[in-house]
Amino acid sequence: MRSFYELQKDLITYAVILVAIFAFRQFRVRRSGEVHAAQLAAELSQARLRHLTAQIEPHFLFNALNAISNRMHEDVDAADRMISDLSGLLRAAYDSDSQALVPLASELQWLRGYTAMMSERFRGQLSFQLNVQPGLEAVAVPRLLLQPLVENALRHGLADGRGSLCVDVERHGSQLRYVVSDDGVGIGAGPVKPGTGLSNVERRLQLLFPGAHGFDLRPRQPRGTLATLSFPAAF
Amino acid sequence: MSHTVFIVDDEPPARAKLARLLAPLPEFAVVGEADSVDGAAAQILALKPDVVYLDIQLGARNGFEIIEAIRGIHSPYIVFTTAYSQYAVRAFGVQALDYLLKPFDRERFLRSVQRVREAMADADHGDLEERIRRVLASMPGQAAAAKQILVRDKTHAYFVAVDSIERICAAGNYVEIHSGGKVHLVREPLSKLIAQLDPGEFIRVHRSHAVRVSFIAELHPMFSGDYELVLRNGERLALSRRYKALLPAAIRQRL
Repeated sequence: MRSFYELQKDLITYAVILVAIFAFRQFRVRRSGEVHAAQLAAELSQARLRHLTAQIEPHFLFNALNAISNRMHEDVDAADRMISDLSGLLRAAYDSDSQALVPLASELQWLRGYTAMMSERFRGQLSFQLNVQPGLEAVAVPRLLLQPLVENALRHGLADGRGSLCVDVERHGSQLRYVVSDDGVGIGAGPVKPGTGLSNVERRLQLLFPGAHGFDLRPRQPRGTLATLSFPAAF
Repeated sequence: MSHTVFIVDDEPPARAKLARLLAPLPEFAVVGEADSVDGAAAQILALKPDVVYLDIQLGARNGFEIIEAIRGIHSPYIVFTTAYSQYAVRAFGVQALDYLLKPFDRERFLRSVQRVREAMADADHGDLEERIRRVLASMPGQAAAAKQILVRDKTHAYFVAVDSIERICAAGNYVEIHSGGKVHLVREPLSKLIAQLDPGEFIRVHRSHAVRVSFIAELHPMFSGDYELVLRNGERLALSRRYKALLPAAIRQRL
């Protein structure tokens, strides 16, 4: 009879030990799970940023190469410049390991290469203007953020390859502001529904500067479209 | 005799390139250029060129719209030039005379010129309707192909499932629908019936015949440049060389 009671006591002890071990393991699993989840979230937002960053579309590349293949019969130096512009664009697009933020100077270098290429492809039909407030070259800005804005203006506003495009970069209080305007067909009255490229811009800004950015797309007078984008910057 | 050529592309360098490549060819004369859908359609109808080099992406619009605008009025030979391989993949084998992917070199361009020459030597435009059917069917937003065909005989009307059709052929005022060993007669022109079928599934092999692609077992070259088709049930059909160019690339390349 006695051994029966002892057995019972031992059983309770075993049970308590088992529960303690189980609870401790659960605690560790949950903790490492939380750490892991935070890590995953960080990686995911990095991946999202990369994914949302515009890339060079194949048809842009092929049309550019086609324009070069014609230009080299007319002017070898001009064709040479186009190859160097295109290489700069490709380098920026393939540099996916680089930081989410880059100096404004490198973003502007991208823009100059891009507009030079488009000016060649639509020679005598498209004109570009770039106004940058002096002293902003070193300010950190999101990489390739201007690309979808400029592409959108060319694809929708100036779809027939004619017109002018203007990019202004200026400081606005504690924010940096991009203004991209074109004199194309315009977006018409009523609410504007941004395309994929532009909604990616929104989502990138939201990931980088939650709640601290501005993005606005509206008809421009007398014609065309005006896109204004602002985000916090360290001056 | 010189053939007239019209160039449609929204990028000036792309037009200049085609003009430059065509310039040394004495039998071709570029009669005009356009950079938009509306301008191109109007000028093509006015100038009636023999050949049109046609870019697909024209600003926000599409080169296929030009084909639609001139359909039934003027039927030039169409050579597509485009940077979009995704269009090419989808449209290859169901396309016009050729599909030049940008950037292309002189050698590739001259191969396409050779295709134009051959098509012109074979002056019958009988296959043009078929080409246009395929080009239009490859456009996004086209009506879906029919799933069944209504057949009426003396006593009643019934449906034949398109999936079961092996081939169709013209027979006087009727069209014979061959399906699982049976023959159904429909009183309709062949071209009208073919227009309801998916060009990816059925191809026209002869003025009076269309065959389900997957029902073709073998192809045999004949002395005349024509081919003989052997179907899965052992039946033999002639493949006219005019329709050969329209075969899906996967089959054509094996010829």
